[in-house]
Order: sequence, then C-alpha cells, then structure tokens
Amino acid sequence: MEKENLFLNEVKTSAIPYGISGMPQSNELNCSFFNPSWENSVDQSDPFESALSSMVSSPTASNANGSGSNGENVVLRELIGRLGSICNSGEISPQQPYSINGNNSANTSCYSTPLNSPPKLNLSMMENQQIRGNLQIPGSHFPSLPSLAPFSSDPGFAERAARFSCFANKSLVGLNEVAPKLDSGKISRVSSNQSIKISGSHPMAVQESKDGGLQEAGISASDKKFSRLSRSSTPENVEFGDSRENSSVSEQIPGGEIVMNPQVDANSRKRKSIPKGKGKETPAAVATTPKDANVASENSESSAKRSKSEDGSANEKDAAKTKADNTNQKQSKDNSKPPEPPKDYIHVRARRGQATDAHSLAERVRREKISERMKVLQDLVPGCNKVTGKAVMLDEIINYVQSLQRQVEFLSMKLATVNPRMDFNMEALMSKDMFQSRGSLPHNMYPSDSYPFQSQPNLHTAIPSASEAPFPANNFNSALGRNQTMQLPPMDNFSETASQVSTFWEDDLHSVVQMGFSQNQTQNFHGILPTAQMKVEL
Amino acid sequence: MKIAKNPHTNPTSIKTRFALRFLRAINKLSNDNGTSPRPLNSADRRKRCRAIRAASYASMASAVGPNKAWSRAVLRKIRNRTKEMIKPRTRRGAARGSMNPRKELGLGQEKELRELVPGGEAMDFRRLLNETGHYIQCLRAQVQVMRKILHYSST
Repeated sequence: MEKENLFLNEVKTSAIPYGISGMPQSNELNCSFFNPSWENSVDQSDPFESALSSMVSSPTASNANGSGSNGENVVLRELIGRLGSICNSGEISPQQPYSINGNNSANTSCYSTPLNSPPKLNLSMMENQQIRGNLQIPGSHFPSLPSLAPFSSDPGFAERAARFSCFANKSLVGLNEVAPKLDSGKISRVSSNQSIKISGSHPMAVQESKDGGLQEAGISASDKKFSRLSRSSTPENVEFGDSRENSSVSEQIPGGEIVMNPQVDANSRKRKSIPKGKGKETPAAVATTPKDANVASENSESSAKRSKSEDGSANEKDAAKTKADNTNQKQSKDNSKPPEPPKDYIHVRARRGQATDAHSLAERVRREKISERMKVLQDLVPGCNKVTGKAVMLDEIINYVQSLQRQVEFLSMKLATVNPRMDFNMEALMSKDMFQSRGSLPHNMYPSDSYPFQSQPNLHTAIPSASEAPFPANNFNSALGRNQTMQLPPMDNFSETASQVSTFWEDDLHSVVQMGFSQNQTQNFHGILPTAQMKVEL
Repeated sequence: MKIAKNPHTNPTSIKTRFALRFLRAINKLSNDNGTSPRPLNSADRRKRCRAIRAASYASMASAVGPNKAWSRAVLRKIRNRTKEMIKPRTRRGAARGSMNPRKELGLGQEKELRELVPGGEAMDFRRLLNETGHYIQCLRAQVQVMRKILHYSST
C-alpha cells in the first residue's frame, strides 16, 4: 500500500508535465497557474529518468515521438520505463493496440469520456496528437479516435488526461504486479471509474479546487482499488464484468457520433459525484454511480473473498460472487460502506449444500469449534477415544475430572496420615523431581501441544526407576544430589552451587554432568535457568 | 488455539512449580502442627487432610497463574475464604445455566461440568471446554506429584 501510494505520488508529479506540455501549445489561460508545478515536476521526475530510462520500450518511444518537447519524451520514457519495470514489456505492448483501436476496448471508451467532457474545442490536431501521445504512453490506453481530437485540446483536458494517465499508470502498475494476465480488464475498470469522476471537473474556473478534490477522491478511490486489486489475483471475472459495464456506458460516447449528449449525462452524474468525493472521501467517491458502487463493492468483496478463501475452490468463489453481487445491488443503493459486512459473511462460509443464512453459518462455526475442543479433550481423557457422541463424551470427561478430584482428595488424606515424615521429604522429593524432570525434559523443551503436560508417559516411566534407585550408583550423581539437598533452602544459592559442582566434574564426567545439569535445570525456576546453563557450559 | 500461545504453559515449569509450592505449603503445615508430633485423632487428621487438599489446589492454581479462568477462580475463592477452604468444586454455584441451550449436548451434563471446573459457571461452552482440558491436565499433574510425594514420604 505504501508502495502504491508512493507510486501514485510519483506518477502524479511526473504526470503534471503532460498537462503542462499540452498547455504552452494551447496558449490557454491556465499556463501561469501550472508553470511552477512544471519545474517541480520535472525536477522530481529526473531521478526516474536516470533510473528507468533504460527500460523504455520501443513502441512507446515511437508513440512519444509525436510529442513536442524533449522533456516530455523523457518523462514519458520514465513512465514507460516504470511501467516496463513493473509489468513486462509484453504486457504493455498488447495494451497499446487497444488504445489505438479505441473503439473496441473498454479502455478507450473510458478515456473517451474525459475527452468528451471539456467544453473547449479550440486546439488543433497536432496538440491533440501530442496529448494523445502523452496519454498513450503512460496509460497506454488513450484512444486515437478522430472524434476525440477536437475535445482534447484545452489545458484542463491535458491536466485531466495527465491525471488519467497517472491513474492508468497506477492501475497498470498495481494490476500488473498482481495479475499480469488480466491487466486490460482491470485497468479498464479502474480507469473508467476514475475517468467518470474526473471528467466531472470540466468547468475550467472551478478546475483547481475541483481538481484537488477530485484528485484526492480519485486517488483515494484508486488506492482502495489498488489495495484490493493488489491482493487480488483471482476475481478477474467480476472485474472484467465491471469493466464491460462501465465501458458500455462510456462506449456510447465514441460509438454514437452524438458526442455531447452522453457526455452531458456523464457530466451530470459526475457533478453529483464530485461533492461526494470532496466531502466524504473514498467510499462516496467510489460510489459515484451505481455501477461504480457495484464495482467498488464487488472489488472489496472479491478481495475479502480472496483473502479468506484463498484455498477455497472455484465453485465456492463463484457462489460467493453471486452472493456478493446480490449484496452489491443492495449496497449500491445506499452507497455506504460496502466492504465490511460481506467480509465477515464470507469469512464464515464453509458450505456444501447447507443452509447459508447468517445464523446457521455462525452456528455451524460455533459447533465446529466446540467439536474441535471436544476432540482435544477426547485425547486428554483416557478411554474417551472409543466413545462417540458428545453427550457420552461429556459424561466421560465429567467422570474423569471427578475421579481426578477424588484422587487428589485421597492423596491429601494419605499425606495427612504420613505427616510426621514430612520434614525430610523435601530432599527426596527434590531428587525425585529431578528424575521426573530428567525423564520429561527433552520432550518438554519445545512444547508443541496446546496443553502443558505432554510428558506424562515419560513421567510414568521415570517414576519407577526413581523409586527403585532414587540415586543411581554413580558417585557423581549421588554426590550432586546430596549437594543439592544440602543447599536446598536458599534456592538461588542452590542452583549456583549445583552448577559449580557440575563444572567441577565437567572434565571427567561430561555426560554425567549433562544429566546433573538437566536435573538442576528443572529444579530451578525459569529465571535461574540460563545462568546455570552458562556456568555449566563454561 | 488459545492455550498453545500461552507462554505460561511450559510443562516442566508448571509441574515443578506446583511441586515446590506444594512442598512448601506442606512443610509450613507440618511446622505449624509440629508442636504435636503425632496428632492421630480423626478430627485433626480430617482437618489436616482438608488443609493439604486446599494447599494442593492453591499451589496448583498459583503455579498455573492467572491466565486460566479456573485457576483464577480457585485463587479468588482462596482469597475470599482463607479460613476454611473447602474443596471449591463441590460448592453449589449460582446454577445459572448457559445462555443458549445446546441441543446436541445434555444440559445436565454441561451444568455438571460447569460445577466441576472452578469458575466454569459463567463462561460459554467453548471456553468451558478449553478450561476443562487445561484443568484436567493440571489435575493429572497434581495427582502425580502428590502420589510421588506420598511415595517418598512413606518409604
């Protein structure tokens, strides 16, 4: 996301020269306004030139030849190089024919709407070509329609076109990064959305403010889309469908020779959408037209779907798409926050011909979790493996817990009777603890299971040996054990002395020292362990 | 699973911590009662048995730490009634059943399990199962350690 934002900014700054490049030729009023930004933009675009000029592909360069100034070419090359660096050159090249053909592809239609929108028709074909060339290279979609030529002359258009090119760049980049195969469809969709929004800004006087707002709105919307699309590799179908929808709207413009009427419609739509985009930021901006809303919601849902059901099969995705479409049509009415509810909705889904309403889905998830826990418990409780049925299993669990509690009671009773010998119990217990922990230690170093005491079989095996020979015949071990038991009451000192003893014996009885060390280790509390270890290893 | 990510479930640590605490508690008990070396009348023995049992539960709960609901409940009960700590599980709770009755599980069994697991009266069923699993493991460890202590003290 940050990358994309960065790239957006870069493209924005570098795209400004396009708008300006169109402007000195057009001699429009806005030249003075744009001049300062020209220099900045050029300066900013220089590093890209140095970095990416080598990446320029030949067809785009040939397109760029139509433009007037060298700086434009440079900038264009930068953009191309950037595109080429991110997408493959082979991907760019098929898109350019689309842009040239213009009539067929959705991309050209998308761009045709902004072209139609500017009211000023002053300029000549040369400027138009330049602008077109400019647009073509970054966006690689800009149509070379003759009908567009008169409209494209004004600086507002140039600026807009530059912005479109930014959007196209962004869309190209973001989409190419993710799904190189499906670039055209996605790009057409994104760019069509943006073009609709931005083309609403054609009144020149308001251009500044509106452009600011539109840029924000459009970019944020595009950001959203990028964030979605960057995650997305799967939902191409939806996006393609959307692009076709949008393109069908905008294709009416070049297709029908009456350019102005659909343009007016689009503008009216867009004028509605502009204040939304300004005031409400992204969701409203995304939801400028119902189709746009559909697109946005579908994008979001497809992304949600994608992120959650990546491993899901294509069937599930298709079903999810249908659902998403249903929800989209609801959401396009209110235009508010399409993405959130379907995410959860989709997240829950694991259906194979089961009920699909939210309650049953949630219930199913809950039941699955419960059964999962029950399985864990089943492993815990002995003799519960053969039992089928949760009620019986619960019975078993209850019985087991009760028996354990009874055992605790019984043992405490026993311990109460054994009372008088308690004083020297400590030492024996400690040694026995050592043994038990020694038996269980290697398995417990890295607890992988969910429950704490996995080593109980080991303990069972360790107990009898400990009972038989609490201190093995080994001299060192017995000495160590005595030393430990002598030093018992201060725990910290105990660990230190034990480790010292172990270091003392380390030369001869290394393996035994290891044993003794492990015993020490388990006796200590956690904080003491590493120090003892270090000492032993010295 | 929640328990798996719990940093306090190092197995050796809980067991050994429990053993240490329990031994300390028993020592303290025997030192307190040490004035009369052989109090073998039944009342004293029962009292002592209860104290040892309470000590075992308390030491286990403190060894587990406050991350588990059942250990928290045990510790709370100990704190509230330090005087005579009866086995906390047999206490009749508020008998508040689960909010949504489960058809697939017997309600009586669930209620019983809630009463068995300390602090299990107020949690949902999934969490109750989690806590039950952990509680079972801890009880098992407790039984083992106590058995070993008994063995070594008797021989």
